[in-house]
Amino acid sequence: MSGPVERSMAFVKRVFREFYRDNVGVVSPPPRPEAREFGYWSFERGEMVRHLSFRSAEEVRAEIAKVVPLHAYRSAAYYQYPSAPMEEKGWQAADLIFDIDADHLDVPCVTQHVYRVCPVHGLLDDGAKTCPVCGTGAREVDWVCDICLSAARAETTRLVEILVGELGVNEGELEVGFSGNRGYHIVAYSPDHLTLDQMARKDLVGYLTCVGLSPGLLGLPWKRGGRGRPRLDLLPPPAFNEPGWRGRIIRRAYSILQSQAVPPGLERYAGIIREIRDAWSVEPDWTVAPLGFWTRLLDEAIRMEALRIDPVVTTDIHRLLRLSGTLNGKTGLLAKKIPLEMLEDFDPLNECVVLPREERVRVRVAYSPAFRLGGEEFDEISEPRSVMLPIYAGVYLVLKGLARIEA
Amino acid sequence: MSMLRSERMLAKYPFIAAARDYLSRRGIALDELGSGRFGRDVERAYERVVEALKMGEDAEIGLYPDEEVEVLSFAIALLFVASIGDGWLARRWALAESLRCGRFLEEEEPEIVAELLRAELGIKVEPSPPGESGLGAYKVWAPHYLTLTSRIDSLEWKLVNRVVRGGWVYVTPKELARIAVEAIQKRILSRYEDARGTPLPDSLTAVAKRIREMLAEKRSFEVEAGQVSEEYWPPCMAKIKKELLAGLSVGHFANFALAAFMLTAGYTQEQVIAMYSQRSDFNEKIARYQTEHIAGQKGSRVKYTPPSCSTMKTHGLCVEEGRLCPGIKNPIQYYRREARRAAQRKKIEGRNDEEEKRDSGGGFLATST
Ligand code: SF4
Ligand SMILES: [Zn+2]
Ligand SMILES: [Zn+2]
Repeated sequence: MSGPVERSMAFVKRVFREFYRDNVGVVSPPPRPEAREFGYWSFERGEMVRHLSFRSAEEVRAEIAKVVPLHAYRSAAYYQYPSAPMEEKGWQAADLIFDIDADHLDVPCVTQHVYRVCPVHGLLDDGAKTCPVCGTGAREVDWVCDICLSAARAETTRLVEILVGELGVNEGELEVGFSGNRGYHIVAYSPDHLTLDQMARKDLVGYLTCVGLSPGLLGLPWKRGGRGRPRLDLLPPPAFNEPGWRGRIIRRAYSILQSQAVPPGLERYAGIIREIRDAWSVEPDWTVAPLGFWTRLLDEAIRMEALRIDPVVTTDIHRLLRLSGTLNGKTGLLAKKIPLEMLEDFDPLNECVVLPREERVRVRVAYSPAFRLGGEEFDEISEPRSVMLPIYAGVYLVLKGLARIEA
Repeated sequence: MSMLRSERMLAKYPFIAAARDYLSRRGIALDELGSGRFGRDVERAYERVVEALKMGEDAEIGLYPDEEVEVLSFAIALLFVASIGDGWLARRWALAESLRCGRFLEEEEPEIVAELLRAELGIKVEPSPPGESGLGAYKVWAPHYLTLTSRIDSLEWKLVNRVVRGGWVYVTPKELARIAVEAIQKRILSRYEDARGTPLPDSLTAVAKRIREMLAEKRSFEVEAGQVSEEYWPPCMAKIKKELLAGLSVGHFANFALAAFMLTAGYTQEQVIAMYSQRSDFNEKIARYQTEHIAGQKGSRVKYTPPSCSTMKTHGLCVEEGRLCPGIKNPIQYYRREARRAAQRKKIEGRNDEEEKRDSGGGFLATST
């Protein structure tokens, strides 16, 4: 006997299978597929199958169409023996990869996107561990919205600019893609970066996230003993239009001061702030304020400017990442490559919808917030009930754990 | 390229391509090397390796007056090290040789250093345009900079504290020389990898044997380091240890953190020194002094506690941002918690067993402070 969950997953798998049957050309394995490790989660077995290798992109596609995985992955690394156990693979190089995830960004809505539901009785109170009616364990559901996805996209754009403008990556060597759920993946294939080891990647991550940044070394006010007037040496003072962190920090500091409200933590400098606000035109006069003021201001500027990438993903030279052009098993959306010039206007909640839009399916929805997907608006469903939805939307709710396919 | 061709240049920088073919260009066959004709060269080669082995970072290999001997002895030294095939010795020797080159580089015109990096070491370097020389007279291609400096453990080398523009990192001539030392060390090590396991001519095996014996004496610590149990260790410390054992150079801060952690957890100073001995720049006297310092016996009598998780994070030493250690604020807390849990498990399992009881009461728990 199969329960409602199995029935629902069997349905989703059928939909995935038909998609891959008709569109397997969309699956896009990375360069040199023969040197990669592949892996996937299957619908049936709750474990990862790893250490697979294929001779060509065609073979990869055929395998995906045959297996119909819930999630499909490929290694960032190039190996001599991709299917050997990890210690014997013979690491040669690895793409430089980045993961930008909506919930690592400072967007206020992220905290409101966690729901607890009972699959039968619907929405539960915050913090509930079990359903008060039937005692089933609460299921935690992560949601995303336009706001947090746009924030992730904006962060992606910033990263691309820094990689190209400062770190020596060519635009043509970059691949940007939507993950199919809540973020973006950025892959640099530049030959000089492929051979960076773990330590070098760690340093590169530090550059992007401003970990270990020491303002004095960048020609910004710094402390020795942390008292008195700031000291500036080593470098010429930063200019407004300067590339790199010197420019970004100084521009941000300036705009913090220009904003009407006195920034938190700087209340006691309100007088000085007014003065600087008016006097600062070309170059700030560092001597008008004590070091404590600058330190706090710059800390805030650095905090706001630092990129929010997942440091673990970038430093892990054996990482598997989602295979472009496959369906994400948490949403049914396509993990889709995005040409750089399209990034600014990219709308993942529309352009990554690839499952059938016309055909409908009856689902029992436990709970659903109002949402927009595939160009349609869906109202909130606050009490459990049965509805007809386009297949892509039904699959979306099923994979989020909010709905079940009805018999 | 031409300015690197002189005999004197080859003597100072014997790793460069022109010196590489020295043996073959002169038509010297490998098994001739043991003959009396090359006595001075072999002796000098032996000296190079032994000085490195004994002194590590402080080795004074110097510059032998006869340039031909200097070039040939480097090639023979490489042969010795490659035939012995010990990674630690190789790293220590490469370190000493690269520091030797560094001393000469400091005296060179910056343009020679740049040329050496470009032509011999495959590093992209350019002089800064006049308008930008205030940021550093030279610029190094960012990925090359990262590869060569990421193991230098000091804030001013971190990329985030550098001026970086259009793929280039700005550096001073002095910094350029330092980068060259790193690149030379890498180059010598890759030459070692290529030549590894090359059999020595019979006539040289006696000399190699002497080196091997000296090495064994120096390396008596190694066994001990491998034996330090990492049961209950937090992921960050286990990682540092693993890297040390693999012969990777870990930063000074990581060394300090590991030592402070081990000492607080109750490991002996000998065990800690054994860990340090994995570094290619190991100096027993200094290691002992530092360890005693951390343990609180020397100098200020301040006993260092291991750095907190947030400090570990700042230095990029925390593993997976602490996802593996929920609720832990300090690595030592992880260790104590795991040890306590293990003790409780033991207690439950061996409730009637006298010996078990004694075990869980003593050992690691007794050492926590
Ligand atoms: S959380 Fe603390 S104990 Fe755990 S890995 Fe990070 S630094 Fe180490
Ligand atoms: Zn219920
Ligand atoms: Zn949101």
